[in-house]
Amino acid sequence: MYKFAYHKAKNVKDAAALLKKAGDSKLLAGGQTLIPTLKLRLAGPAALVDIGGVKELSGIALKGKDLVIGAMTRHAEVATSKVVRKAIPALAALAETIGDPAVRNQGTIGGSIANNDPAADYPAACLGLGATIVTSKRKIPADKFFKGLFETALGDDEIITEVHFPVPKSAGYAKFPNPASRYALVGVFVSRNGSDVRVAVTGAGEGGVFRVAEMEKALQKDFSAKALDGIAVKPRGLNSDIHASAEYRAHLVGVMAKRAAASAA
Amino acid sequence: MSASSIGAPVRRTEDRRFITGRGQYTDDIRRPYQTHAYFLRSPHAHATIKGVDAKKASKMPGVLAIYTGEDIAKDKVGDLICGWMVLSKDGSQMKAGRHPALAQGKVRYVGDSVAVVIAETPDQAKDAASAIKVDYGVLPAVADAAKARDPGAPQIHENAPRNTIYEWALGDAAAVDAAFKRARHVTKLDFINNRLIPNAIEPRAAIGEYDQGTESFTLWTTSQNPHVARLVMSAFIGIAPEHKFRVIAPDVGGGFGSKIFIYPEETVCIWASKKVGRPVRWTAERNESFQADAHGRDHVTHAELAVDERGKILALKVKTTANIGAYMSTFSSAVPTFLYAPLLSGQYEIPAIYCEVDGVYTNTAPVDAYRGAGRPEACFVIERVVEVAAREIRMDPAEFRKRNFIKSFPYQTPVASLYDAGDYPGALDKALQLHDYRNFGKRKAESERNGKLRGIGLSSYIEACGVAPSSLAGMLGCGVGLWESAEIAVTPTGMVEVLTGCHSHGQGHETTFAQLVSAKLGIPMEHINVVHGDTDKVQFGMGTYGSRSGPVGMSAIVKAVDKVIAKGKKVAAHVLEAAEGDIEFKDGKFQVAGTDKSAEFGAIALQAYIAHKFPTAEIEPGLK
Amino acid sequence: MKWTAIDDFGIVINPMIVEGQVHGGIAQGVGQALLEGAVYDKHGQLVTGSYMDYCMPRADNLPSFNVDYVVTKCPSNPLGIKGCGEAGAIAAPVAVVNAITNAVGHEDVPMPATPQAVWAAVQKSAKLRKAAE
Repeated sequence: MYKFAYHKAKNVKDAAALLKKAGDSKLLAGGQTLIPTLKLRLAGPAALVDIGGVKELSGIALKGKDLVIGAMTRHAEVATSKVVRKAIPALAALAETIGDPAVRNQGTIGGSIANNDPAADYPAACLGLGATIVTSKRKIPADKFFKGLFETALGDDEIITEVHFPVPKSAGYAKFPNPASRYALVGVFVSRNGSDVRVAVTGAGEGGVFRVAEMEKALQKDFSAKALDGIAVKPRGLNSDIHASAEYRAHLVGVMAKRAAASAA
Repeated sequence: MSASSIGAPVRRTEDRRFITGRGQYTDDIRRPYQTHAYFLRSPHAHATIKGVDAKKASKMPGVLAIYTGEDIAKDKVGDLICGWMVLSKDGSQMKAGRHPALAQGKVRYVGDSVAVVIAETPDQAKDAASAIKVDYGVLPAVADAAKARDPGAPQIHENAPRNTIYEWALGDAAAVDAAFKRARHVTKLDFINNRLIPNAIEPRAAIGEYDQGTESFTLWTTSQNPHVARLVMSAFIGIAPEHKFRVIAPDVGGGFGSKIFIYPEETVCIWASKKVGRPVRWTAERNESFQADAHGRDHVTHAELAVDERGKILALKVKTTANIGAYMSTFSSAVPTFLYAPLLSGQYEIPAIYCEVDGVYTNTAPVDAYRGAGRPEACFVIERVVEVAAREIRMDPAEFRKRNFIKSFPYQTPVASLYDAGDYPGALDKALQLHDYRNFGKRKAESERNGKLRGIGLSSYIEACGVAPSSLAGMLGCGVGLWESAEIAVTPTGMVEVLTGCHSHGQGHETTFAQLVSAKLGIPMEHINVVHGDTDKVQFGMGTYGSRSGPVGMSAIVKAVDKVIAKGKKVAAHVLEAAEGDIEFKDGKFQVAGTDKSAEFGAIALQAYIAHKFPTAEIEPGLK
Repeated sequence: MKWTAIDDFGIVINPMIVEGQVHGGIAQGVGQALLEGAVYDKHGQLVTGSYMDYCMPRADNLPSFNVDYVVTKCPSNPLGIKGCGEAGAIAAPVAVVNAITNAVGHEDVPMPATPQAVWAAVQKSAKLRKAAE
C-alpha cells in the first residue's frame, strides 16, 4: 500500500467537502474492491474519505412504490432483509450470490454501483429494475448512470446516497459465476412492471451492463422463458477471456435470460 | 491415559494449536534487529539486463542494502542446482543452464529476481524496489512446451540448444514396434496434462540470521526437508559450512511438493544476513507464490496402445514433452522421467512399453514435483488410453481393465518397477459394487429425461510411494539417498521423544507417529513428543514428499522402537534378576516369562539412567 | 456427482487421517480436472496470476466421497503399510475426464474441463451426431 491521508466523514455533506478538499481522493465504502487494489499498489490516492460511519447512508425501507436502499447498506443486509425479500425477492437472492460471506458482510450496494465493475451483480439489478440512483447532488436513472467499464455518470465529489428500486410485478436474476472469481461470467436480470419489461445483462458486455431490446420485446408479448426461444445475442461486442469466449458468453446470455424469466414468471 | 492402538481414528493433537492461532510459522517468528527483504522481479518473460540503476533507491528511507546478480557473483555464491542427473538416449548428460539466485545478464521468466532490497520495513523495501531502474533488452519468449523447440524459437540457455535439456527414454522400442505389428486394434491419443500452481495456504517464507560470535548461520524456512536444504546450500551453493548452519522448518502450512525445493529467496536471505549483519526476512506475497513457486505437471503427450483380438494389451508407446520452465528446479529432471515412465504399466500386464520424454526449457516459472509428481501424469496416460481403447473395441471398460490386470506378485514391469503386492480385481470389484456400477444405465437414462448428460469414468492407479531404496535412487542419478532416520529418546521419567527426519506440514505426523510409538511401547500418547524440522535436533532426514513418511519414515521409527525395547530388556533382566532371553515386553511392561515379575516401561527407563543395577561396562546407561 | 474411491494402503495406523489425505487428494485431483490451469500468454505473461483467474477447488465444487479400502500388506517394510498422501491426486483427474468424455460421447475434452470446455465438447457432440445422420 502507498501512503494516503485518512479522513472519517461525519455525514454526506462532510464527505463531499472532504472529497473536494483532498483533491486526488477516493471514497471508502465497504472497501471490498478498493482495499485489495490499494494493497496491490494498483492505486495510490492521496486521501481516503471513509463513509463507514455515516448512519444516514444505511437502511432499507419501502417508500410508496419504491424499495429504497441506502448506499452503505451491506450485501448481507439486503440478502437477509424481510422487506427486500417480500418486495423484490430476486434482489435479495442476487445479493446472496455476491462474493463470499466476508465480502457480503462488508461490501455495500453504493460501492458496487459506483465502481461499476463490468462483472458485478448490482448494475444488472439497477438497470433491470429501472432504478434511480440518488446522489448528493441529483437523481440519475439507471439507464443514464452506467457509462462503460468502471465508468459512471458520477462527478468527482458526488456521492451515491440511495438507490430507489420500483417494486416490479415480478423479477428474476440468473447468474453463471466465473468459477475462479465468482463474479458473473454472465448474469441476466429480468423484470416486469406493468408494460415495462426489462432485460439487463452483466458480465458479458465490453462496455459493461446492457439491455437486450429483442428479449424485452418478446417478453412483453409473453412473459415466459419459452418466449425467448430462438433469440440469440450476437457475440460481437461481448467480452472474451480465458474463462469464456464471446461465443460462449452469447450462449450463456440466452440460457441465463431463460432461467431468469422462468424464475420471474 | 492409556496406550493407543494401530488402526484407531485418533484425533489430531496438533490441530489444537493450529485452529486456535498458536502455530509458529516462519512469518510468526520475530528476530532482534530483523530487516526485510523485497525482491524486484522481472516483468518480462525473456530479456537481457543491460543495466541496473539503484542509486536513487539506495538513498531512500530505511534502505540498508540493494544487491543484484553482480553481488552474488562477486561473493562467489554458487548457483542453485538440480540434484538429479538424467542422461539422454545418446548417453549425454542433461544440459542444465546456470541458475544464479539473482539474475545475471538475463531474465528468463516473469518473476525472475533481478535485485533484492533490504530495508527496515517491508514497505520501505518495496518503495525502494520500485525506484530501481532496470534497463531491459526485451527478447521474444516461448511459454508453450510444444513450441519450445520450433525453428526460430528463442534460445533460453546458451548450453541447451533448441531449449532441449534431455531426450530420455525407457523401455524396449523394438519389442514395442513388434507388438504393434501384431495388434488387432491400436488406440492413439494426444493430450495435455495441464500446468498447475501449487497454492499452499502458507506462502513461502525465510529468515536468515548470522551470528558473528560463533560464525554460524540459522535459516528458518518453509521447507518440507530442512536437512536437504542445509546440505544443498552448504555443499553446492556454498553459503555456510554444514556444521555451522542450522535450518529450521517450523510449522509449515502445506507444501504439496512446492516446498521441497531450494529457491533463490531463502538463499539470498541467508547470504545477505551476513552482509548486512542483521537477520533478513522475507515472506512471499500471494502474487509471488503464483509467479515464482515451482509449478506442476505441464506435459504434452502422444500415447498409443496396442490390443489383440481377445482384448489383451500388447504394448504401450508414449512420447512426452515436459515443460521444465526457465530453470531446472531441485528435482525437476526426475519428475517427468524416473517418477513418470516407471509407472506407465499402471495395474496392467503390458508385455512391452516404450516411453520417450524430452525435457524442454521455456520462459515460464520452474516446474517441479507437485502432489503425485510424475505419477498423476503417468496414471492419466495409461488410464485415458485404456478407457478409450475399451470404448473403441466396444468392451465394458471395467471388463477390459479386469482382463488386463496383473494378478500374481511379485510382478516385474517392462519399465523397471517391480510390484510386490496388490489385489487389483478385488479393489475394482469393491468400487463397482459400492458405486452401483450395474445400474449406471438407469441413472443415465433418468438424467437424459431431465435434459442432462451423465457419464461414468473409471481409473485405477499404482503409486511408487517413498521413492526408494537409496541404492536404486543412486543408480538412477539421484544426488541423495532416499532412506529415513528416526531416533527414540526416552527420558529418565519414561517420557519419549520421537525424532524424525520426516517433516509434517499438514499431514498429522505428530499424531500418527505418536500413535504408532504409543501402540508399540504401550505408553500413552501424551507421554510422547514428535520432534521434526530442525537440523540441530534431528540427526538427518530426507523430509516429507512422495508419500514416504508412512512406508519409509514410520519404518525407521519402528526399527528405533525395537532397539529401545531390546535395550530395555537388557536393563530389565538385571533389574528383575532374570535371564535376558526370559524378558518379554508387552503392554508397556517388561515381564519375566511365565512369572508375575514385571516392571513398567517408565521404571526401566529410570533404571537405565541411574545405572545402579547393571554393569556399565556391559550396558551403556541411558535409553535410546 | 457420485464418487467412489477404493484404495489399498496396506495396514493403516490412523484411518481418520488417511481418509483426510484421500479427501484432500481427490479435491486436488478434481481441481486439476475441472478448475485449475496455469495459463501463460504468448509473451510469457502469467494470465492466471491470482485467485481471480486461477480457480482452486472449493467445498461446493465437490461431492461427498465414498471411501473404502482393500488391504494387501506391503511385504517390503516392517509395518506392511503403503503411502497414502498422493493417492487421490493421482487417480482422480483421469476418472473425471473419462466420465465427461463418456457423457459427451467423444474423447476431445481438455483439462481443465471448464464450463466453456464442456460446452464446446457438447457442441461438438451435436455436430458429430448430425454428421453421422
